[in-house]
Amino acid sequence: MKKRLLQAAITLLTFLALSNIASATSVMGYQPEIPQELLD
Amino acid sequence: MNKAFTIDYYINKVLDFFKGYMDIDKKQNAVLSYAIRLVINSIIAYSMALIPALIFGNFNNVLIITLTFAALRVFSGGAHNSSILNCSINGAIISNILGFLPKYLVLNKSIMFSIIIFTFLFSLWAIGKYAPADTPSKPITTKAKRQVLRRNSFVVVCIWCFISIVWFIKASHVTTYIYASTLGILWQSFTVTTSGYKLYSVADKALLYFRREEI
Repeated sequence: MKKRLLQAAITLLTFLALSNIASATSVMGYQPEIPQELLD
Repeated sequence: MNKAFTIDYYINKVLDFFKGYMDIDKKQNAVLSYAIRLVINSIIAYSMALIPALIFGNFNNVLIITLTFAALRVFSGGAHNSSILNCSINGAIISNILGFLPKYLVLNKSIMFSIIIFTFLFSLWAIGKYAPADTPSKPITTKAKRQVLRRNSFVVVCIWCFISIVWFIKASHVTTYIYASTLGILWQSFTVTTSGYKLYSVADKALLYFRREEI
């Protein structure tokens, strides 16, 4: 059960990271440096 | 031994927790690290804006301003600060100052409608001329992506204006939602302009000076 919840959390976080890449910028006034692995 | 309780420290703590239950390769590690940083940054930024708002009794106003600001910002981009702390302080100050306006500067419907129309036209101009406004840390390199983001920015502004006009027809007085959302759209539209970038740069340098950090 715990592992499934963590997998769901990882999926959600991955979606969040990819959504941020697709957008113009983050929702606040600071854009952190994007890792090369996401740009590839 | 003194530990530096930085954002990286907490990101590594969360990643270590994940790694305790499943295998995470280097690429996934980088993706998760970035996503967790976004989450922590958002929590810091919104907390610093909303906690003072709660104390001042402006919570609803500041929440609507920040959410409207964010809804447009995702597509239009805009000026940035150099660190999450500067961003949070800057955002907290601006959103709380704007949050006071609906409370203390009471407007009648006709003036509010004029402001809505002005904000709509200003946003269209700013988005048409400057959006999407990117940053060196996240440049928008393809024309196709630019067009999609600009189009989506127009869609967000048009949806906001449509809702505001429907309100104007139906409601008998100026509501918090309309007033605060107008300020959010106006603030975000300003941040995509050259003047918005200049203002953020000056604010950023001032914050770095007061925090005794190198400019």
